[in-house]
Amino acid sequence: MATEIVIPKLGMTMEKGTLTEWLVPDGQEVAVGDLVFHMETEKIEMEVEAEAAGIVRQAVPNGTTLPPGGIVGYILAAGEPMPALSPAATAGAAASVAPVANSVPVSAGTASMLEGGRIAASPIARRLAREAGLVLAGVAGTGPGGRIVEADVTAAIAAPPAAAPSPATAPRTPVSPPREVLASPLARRLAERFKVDLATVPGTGPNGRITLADVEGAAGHPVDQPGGAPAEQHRPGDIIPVRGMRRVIAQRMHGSLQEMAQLTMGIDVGMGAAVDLRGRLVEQWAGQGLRPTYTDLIVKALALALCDHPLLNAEFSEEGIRLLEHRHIGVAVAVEGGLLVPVVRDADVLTLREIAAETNRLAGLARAGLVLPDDMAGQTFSVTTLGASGVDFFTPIINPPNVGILGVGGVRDGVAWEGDRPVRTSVMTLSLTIDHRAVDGAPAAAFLGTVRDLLESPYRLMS
Amino acid sequence: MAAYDVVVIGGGPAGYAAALAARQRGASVAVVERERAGGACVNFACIPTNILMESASTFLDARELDVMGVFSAGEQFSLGRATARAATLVEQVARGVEMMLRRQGIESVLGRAAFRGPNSIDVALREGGTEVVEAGAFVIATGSRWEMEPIPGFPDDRVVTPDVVQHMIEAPSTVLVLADTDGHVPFGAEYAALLATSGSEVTLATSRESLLPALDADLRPAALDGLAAFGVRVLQGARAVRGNDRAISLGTADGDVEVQADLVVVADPRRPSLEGLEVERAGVTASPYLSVDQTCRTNVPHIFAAGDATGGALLTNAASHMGEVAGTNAAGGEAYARLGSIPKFLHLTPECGWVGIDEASARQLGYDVMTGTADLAFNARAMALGARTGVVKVVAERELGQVLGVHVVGPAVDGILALAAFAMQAEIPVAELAGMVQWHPTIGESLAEAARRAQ
Repeated sequence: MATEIVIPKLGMTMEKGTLTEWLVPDGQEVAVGDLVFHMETEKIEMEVEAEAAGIVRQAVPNGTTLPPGGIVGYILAAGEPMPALSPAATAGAAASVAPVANSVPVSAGTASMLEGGRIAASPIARRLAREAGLVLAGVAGTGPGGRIVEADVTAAIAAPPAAAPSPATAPRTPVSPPREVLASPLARRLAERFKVDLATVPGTGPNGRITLADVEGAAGHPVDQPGGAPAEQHRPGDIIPVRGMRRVIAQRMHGSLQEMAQLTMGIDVGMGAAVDLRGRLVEQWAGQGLRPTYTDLIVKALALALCDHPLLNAEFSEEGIRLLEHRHIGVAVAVEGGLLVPVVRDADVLTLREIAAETNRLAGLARAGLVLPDDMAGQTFSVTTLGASGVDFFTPIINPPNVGILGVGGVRDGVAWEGDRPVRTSVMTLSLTIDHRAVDGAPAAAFLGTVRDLLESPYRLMS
Repeated sequence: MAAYDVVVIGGGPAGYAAALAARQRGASVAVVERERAGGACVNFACIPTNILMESASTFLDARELDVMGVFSAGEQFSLGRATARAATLVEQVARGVEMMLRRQGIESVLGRAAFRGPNSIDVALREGGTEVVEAGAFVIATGSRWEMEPIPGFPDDRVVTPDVVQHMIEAPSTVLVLADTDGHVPFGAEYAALLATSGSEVTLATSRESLLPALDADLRPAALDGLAAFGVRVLQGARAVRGNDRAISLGTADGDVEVQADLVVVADPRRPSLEGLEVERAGVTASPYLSVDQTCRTNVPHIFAAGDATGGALLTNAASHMGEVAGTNAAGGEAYARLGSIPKFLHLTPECGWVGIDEASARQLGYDVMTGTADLAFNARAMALGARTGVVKVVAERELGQVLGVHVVGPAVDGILALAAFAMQAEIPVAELAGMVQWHPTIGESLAEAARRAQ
């Protein structure tokens, strides 16, 4: 008679197993105890051995994933035809092959399996089994319809593994029972997708519960939780997974360059007056603990210039170029493992002081991983700064769906001629990237000129 | 000199949450408070506002009592009675906080704190004298204070913050409420509604593009209609530029608009309240907010900070959560702050609130977005309550089924918001939210309905 080969159920949380490799070719004869296939679950890898002797007929190819109890093949007598594959036939089949290695004491029996591979057992029996690390699939059920009840589990726990009826069902290398992991449903889903073992993930939720962000962190991206586990040290040869923030950056930047016709131009700005103004403001606001940066001046100048050049404050779409009503400036902030772009809303109507307070608040929160999602969406134009790294000119990439982004270089010494005499000046280079589909070079240059003029006469930023 | 395991500076929501969490872990704890326990939340913000808004919305409801079969009630509204009731209840809540701390064995020190060094503070006691207090760890929870900028030409003494309104006996005849809020929740809308209920002619102005920028755009009209029903005129994208004795000029995209105003209420201009604390003597940097990481630690490992002093979300629920995290960590535990799924709520009629992000933000952040809405006009409980409008909108992403945001406008929707916040904090997928079973008829049923429609 045909004996079914099934995916064994290993623990309460197992939802499916993957037959990674048949260890016996189709049609080959096996004896009881021969290894038949290799499988893996979210938690473990193991080999499954034959409990019956006969000829192995494979019903599924390598790489098939099925719920526990799912039939992957049969062990047939010589000349016996392969039965039609039927999910209903899985009932009672769990003991036909026995898991080897790993896992937990298993005693033989005929657990009753419900549709979908769930084993029929009372809640108390489940709890007892879980506490004892006992796999229910191996427990004989004596309740109605083979349902496993409390007494069955108690008996199974009392029976030492060595006394199990069949030597094939005893584990060869018993290890500790699978740990019950506290994790959110979404964290479990992501872990499954990323093939992350939840038992290795430190949880930062209530009572150490593993959250979505924790799994993203464990998948190579600690950026979402700077206060959490320290970043891994990467070594040559490592492959850093492209997930979480890294993936968002990768997709958006690549998508931006693929979709738009980006053109970058640069302009030098005389920063003498802006340096003076900032110095005065630093002194004036020191008592309030507020320290304005050049970026704050630039955010304000940018927002005011956008009022005069509405074409730069727009979105390019299938319908056309949509001019936007408000000027929300995204300010790129470098954080561990990537960058975030919190948004200063209505920067044209905020005072410079309000802008300074807001950029400071947002940058602090972004670096701490505490920035609210509402603070990171809706920018109509962005500014990105590399001046502190000694860069003067670069080609920033536009944040879709905006049509422009301004790159800011460092303030450096320059030279101007007063008659024949060279004088020292302060100069900064701005790099403007535009989407040429929406804006042409000349209006973009005019816009950049307005930004320059505002920064060269910065008292206009104080209105 | 007194010494404790943990000393909390500030007795507001962040402070008492920190003190309770540290005490629960067995630490000896003292709270230094300079005014009255409860902080801004209990004394000037959430609690009095909520109590007053209950009076206002009850009055609005009372106008329609005949529909319910109830007659001869609610023809008049007395702001004086409402504010007197609020003051009494606020006193009770503040005393409740003090009593709760005392029962837990937490020492209260009344006075102003200033750091001496990394492990000690001077407290200038309210009863006189100075006491040195030492601690193994500190939690700075000093909150924020209102800070108004003057309006050129308009008398400074007629520009007030909500605490003044909370003690008014009579409403002024014309009021301009300025609602430019750092934390996205325009509390000014509540004060506009209250004063309009009390008989004032009220204009509510914001310089921002929208009064409710974080509420999903589909729901904003219903929320604004609600304000109109109170009799509030709303001006968006309007900034007060100058004034004279009786009026304010507001600059808008279409030119200046002049608004009559006996009084200007500035809703929520806040700055961290750190003056006199001398945090730099302990090595802590403030700029001007105190930067903390997810464990609520400042740059000095044994000094924590929580609530408005960190910039946070400038909301009480965020402050309490951060306080609990800070207190737990200060007492040697391990906890992490998460502010992404805290609910925001305005006690208007209809009520309005949200948790997480709106559809437009979700799309801009690159999510594969699905949305579902349920119309409360077809919710049997909402009909019984006499509501005409109401919407629940669920924003989720397709890949994992993560709920990104839930937005609500309608009657008794705080119940929906509570469920939504729990589901999002527990990271329950949208399909499970859709399968939730509620009592019938309740407002909460509409959340499951919106989730079922999300695709």
